[in-house]
Amino acid sequence: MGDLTLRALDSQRDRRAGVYVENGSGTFVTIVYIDDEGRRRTLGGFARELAEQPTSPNKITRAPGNWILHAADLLFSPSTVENLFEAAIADLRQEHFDALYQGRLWKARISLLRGYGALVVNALIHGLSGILRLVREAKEVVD
Amino acid sequence: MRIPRLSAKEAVIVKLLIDHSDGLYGLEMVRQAPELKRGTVYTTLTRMAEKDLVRSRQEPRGEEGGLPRRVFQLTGHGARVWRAHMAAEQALRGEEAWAT
Repeated sequence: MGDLTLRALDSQRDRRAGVYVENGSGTFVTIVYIDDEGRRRTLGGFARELAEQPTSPNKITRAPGNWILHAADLLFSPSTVENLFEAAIADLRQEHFDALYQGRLWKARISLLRGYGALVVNALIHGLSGILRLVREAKEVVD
Repeated sequence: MRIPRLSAKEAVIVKLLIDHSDGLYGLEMVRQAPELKRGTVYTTLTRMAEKDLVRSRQEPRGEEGGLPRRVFQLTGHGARVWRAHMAAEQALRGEEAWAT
């Protein structure tokens, strides 16, 4: 696996691949990269091993939206987490990774910004409508 | 009994989901319907799920793992509400035509 790992990490140098820590314990990573023939490849491994490769130019980062998912788990109901946060973040990642696979780094960055912006607006609207609903229900009880 | 109503955005989503019985991702809906915006589509879908108009399921995990995408589908209740919505609209249109 050594050669393959190095090649995957090298391919990040010319900004064609994404290296992200996946969910769970935060140590296992999936590397998505484009091989020399332009095919999409994936590689799994432990973050520490991959980051300690002497030739690695990478810093291993968490997948986009990871911390938002953790925060949403604490703050919102399971239904909201599934239908709003998980759905939005999974779509955001798909768009971001698609752009990375195509080697379009700027498109990937812009898709991240747009995705985060949309997520914030969705969460704000959801929070406000929840407050309004509570107020309406309280008013009905009082009346 | 409170009669379920569909907002304009909810009606657009239901119409899309009727045309795509396999389901759609939120982002696909935004791409297919200019009335829908990224900033509101997931809130609308969450509200519709709470009203049992749509349900979501996780796509099977791909070979690269990670967070699976969520596919939204119309529920039986959603389809019934849509039919009622269309019937009410037709009845109103008929009434307006009759009045003029």
